[in-house]
Amino acid sequence: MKNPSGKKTKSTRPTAMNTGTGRGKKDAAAPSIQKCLRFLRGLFLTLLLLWVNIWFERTTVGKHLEVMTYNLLQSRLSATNRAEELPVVIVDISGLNATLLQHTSDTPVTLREPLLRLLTAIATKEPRAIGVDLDFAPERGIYVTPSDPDFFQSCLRLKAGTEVPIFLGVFRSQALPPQAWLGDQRYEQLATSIMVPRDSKKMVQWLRVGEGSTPLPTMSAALADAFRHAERRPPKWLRWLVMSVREKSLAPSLTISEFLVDYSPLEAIEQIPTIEGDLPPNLSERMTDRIVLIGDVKKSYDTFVVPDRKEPVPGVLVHACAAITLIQGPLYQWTSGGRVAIDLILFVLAFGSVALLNMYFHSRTTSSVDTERLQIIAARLIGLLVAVGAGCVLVQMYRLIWDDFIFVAAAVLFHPAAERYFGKLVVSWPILKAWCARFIAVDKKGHSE
Amino acid sequence: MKSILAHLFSGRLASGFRRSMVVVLDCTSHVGTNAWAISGSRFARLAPIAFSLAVATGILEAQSQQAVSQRRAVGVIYAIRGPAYLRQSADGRPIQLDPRTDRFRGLREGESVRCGQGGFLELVISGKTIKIKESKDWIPIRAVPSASPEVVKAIDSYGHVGGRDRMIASAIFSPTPGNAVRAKWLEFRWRPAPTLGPVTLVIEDAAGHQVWRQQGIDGASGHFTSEAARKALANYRNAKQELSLTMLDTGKNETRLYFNLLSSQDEEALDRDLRTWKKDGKRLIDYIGRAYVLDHYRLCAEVAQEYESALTLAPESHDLILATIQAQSCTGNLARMNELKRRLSLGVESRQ
Repeated sequence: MKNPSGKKTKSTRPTAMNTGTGRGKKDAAAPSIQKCLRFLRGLFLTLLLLWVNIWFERTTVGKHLEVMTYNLLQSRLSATNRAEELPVVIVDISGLNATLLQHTSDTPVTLREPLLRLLTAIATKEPRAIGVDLDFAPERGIYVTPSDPDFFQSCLRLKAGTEVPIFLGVFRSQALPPQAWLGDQRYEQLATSIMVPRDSKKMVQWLRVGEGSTPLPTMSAALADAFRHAERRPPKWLRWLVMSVREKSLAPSLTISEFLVDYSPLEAIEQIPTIEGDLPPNLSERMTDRIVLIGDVKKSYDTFVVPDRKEPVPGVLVHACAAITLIQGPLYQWTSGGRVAIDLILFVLAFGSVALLNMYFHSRTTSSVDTERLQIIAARLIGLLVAVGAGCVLVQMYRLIWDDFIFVAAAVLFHPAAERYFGKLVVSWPILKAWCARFIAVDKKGHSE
Repeated sequence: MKSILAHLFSGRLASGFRRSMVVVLDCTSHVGTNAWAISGSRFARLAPIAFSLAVATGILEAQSQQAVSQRRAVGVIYAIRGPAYLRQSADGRPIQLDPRTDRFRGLREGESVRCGQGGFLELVISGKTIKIKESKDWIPIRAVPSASPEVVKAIDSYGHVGGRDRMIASAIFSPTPGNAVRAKWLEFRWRPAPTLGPVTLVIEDAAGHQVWRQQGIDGASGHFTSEAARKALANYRNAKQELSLTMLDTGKNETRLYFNLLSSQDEEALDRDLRTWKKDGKRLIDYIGRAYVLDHYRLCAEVAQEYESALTLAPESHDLILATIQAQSCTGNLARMNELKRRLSLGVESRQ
C-alpha cells in the first residue's frame, strides 16, 4: 500500500488477530468444506502420530525412553517408609548354609530339618501366610533330598494344625502338570512359582500350561491372596480405560497373567536375620497378621535389576514387593483402547477448543480468529497438562503408570507444526507429482536412446 | 500240585490267587492226612502247615514279581560302581547290584535304589541321565515327566528363578567348587580384597594328605598360578578322588572347596574334542565352540573365560550375555554376574 508520497507503508492491522495459514490473509469467509478438510487433516495427523508412537515404543531408543519414564514414575509413587506398616516381612536365611548332599549331585542343598523348625516357629506367631523362596521341585523326577516327601507332609500337617497357609517355591517343574510340581498330587496345594520375569517391571500372577489345566500361582500372588485384602479399584470413569493385569500367551500352550510391580517400599521391607537357623527372640508382634517370606537376602545368586535402583536386588525382595503391590493396590496401565481414547481426548481438547472458538467468533465479528496461534497455545497447555497429569496426579492418586506420556506430550506440542508442514506437502503434492512424472519421462527417453 | 504250578506260571496269579489258595489247602489236607496216617508224629502234624506256608510264600513272591513286572518300566541302570542296591518295593529285600550282570537292568516305578560307601549308580530314566552317589536313604524310581520343549523355551526366555539357587556365592572362583580342573591349566582365582593381606593356599587329597602348599600369596591380587602346584596335581590325575583347596588368611579364616581332576584319559578326550576348534582362534565361533566342549568336561573356570572373550566381540548379544551369566554362576563370581545382569536389563527391555 502506498501513501500519497509514494513510499510504501505497512498495512494497518485490524483489531482482531489475523488468521493463521496464509499469513496475514483474512479467513472471514472460509468455506465450511475447507474447515472440514482441516479438521480431517488434524484427525489424520493425530492417528498418524499415534501409530508413530506405537512403532517408536518397539525401537531400542523407545524402550530406553520407556525405562527412563517408568523409573521417573516409580519415584513418584507414594512410598511407605515405615516397615511396620508394610504387610510383608522377610526372614533372611543367608545364615542357613546350604550343605553338600552327595546322593545325587555335588551341588549343595538347604537342609529341610532346620527349615521345618523355622516354619514351625513362625507358624506359632500367627502370620497371615508363609512362603519359602527356594526351588523345591524334584530334579529329573528325583526329590532334591530324600526327606522331601516327609518335609512336604509336615508342611501340610502344620498348615492344617495352625490354619496358616504355607507356600513352597517351584521353578524346575512349573512347565509340568500339577501333580509333578512337587512330585505328587498331594503336595500340589503347596506349590507356587518363584519365577521372576527378565523384564522386572512386571511379575507373573499365574501361569497355565495347556488349555483348561490348573494354573500355577506365583509366590507373591498366592501370599497376597491369602492376606485377603480389600481390592483397591480405580474410579468408575477410569475403569474401562485401564487394566491392572494382562494375560498373554508366551507359547501356543502357555498363558500367563502379569502385572506391574511397585518397588517404592523396597528399602523399607523389614528383614529378620536368623541365628544359626533359628529366629531371634521377641518377635511375636513383628510377624502376627503379616505375611512372612523366607529367603536368602545376602548370599543368593538370584539377583535382579529393578527400576530406579542401581544395584541388583535379591529375588526374595522382588517377590515381597510384588506381594505388597497386590495387597496395597495394583499399578494400572492403559489398555490398548485406553491409549487410543486418551490420545483422541487430548486431540479433541487441544483442537476442539480452537474450533469452538472459531465458531464463537465467526458469528460475532468479521475478523478471523488466529487459528494457528490458538492451536499452538492450546497444544502447549495440553502438553503441560499431560506432563503434570501423568507425572503427578494420575500416578499418585490412581497408581496409573503412563510410561509413554513424554512422547504423547511431545506429539501434542509439535502437532500444529506437523499440521502446517503436512498442509504444505498437500498443497505442493501436485507439483511434486508433476516433477516426478517429468523426471521419469526424461529417464525413459534417455534409456531408449 | 499241578494246578498250583499251572497257576504260578500262567501269569494269572492276581486273579487266580483265591483259587490257588483253595487248591493249596486241598492238597495240603490230602498230604497232611497222609502224613498223619503214616507216622502220627508231631513232625507229621506240622508238615502240612509248613508245606502250605511255603507254597503260600512262593505264591506271594510270585505275585509280587508279577505286580512289579506289571508296573510301568521307566528306565535302565547304565553304570554301577562299588556297592549299590535295589529294592523292588517299599518292604522288599534289598538286592545288591552286580556291575557285570545288572548293567542295563530295567527299572520300574515303585522300585528304589541306594549306594553304599564309595558306590555310584548312573541311571537313565525317561531319557534323562541321573547320577546317584552314596546315600543312607532309598531313592525312589519315578517316571520323569517331560515338558513341552516350546513351553520350556518360552519360560527360559521369559524369566528365571527368583529364589535361592543351590549354589551359594563362593570366595574362590577357580577351581570352582564341585567341578573339574585340568592339572596343567590350574589357576587360582578368588574375590580380591585390598584388606585381605597375604594368604596361604593348600591342596589336600581325600585322605587329608597335603599335596601342595604355598604361603605368602598376595590376597589383594585375586590371582595366582604355580607350576609346582600343576606338577603336584599331575600325579593325582588318575587317583579318582576329590581334592580340597583351602585358603587361609592372616586372621585364620578358612575357605575350603572340593574339586575333581580330569584323568589322563579325559584329558586326551578333551584334546581330541578341542581339535575341532582352532586352538588360538579368536573368532566368535571358536570361543563358543571351545566353551561348549569345556562345559562338557565341567571345566567351569575355562568356560567362563571363553564366554568372556566371546563377549568382547559381541558385547550387546543378549544370548551371549545370558550364557556368560550362567558360566559365571558356575564359578561363583557374583559381582561379575550382577554387572552382566545390569547390562542385560536394558537389552531385555529392548528385546521384549
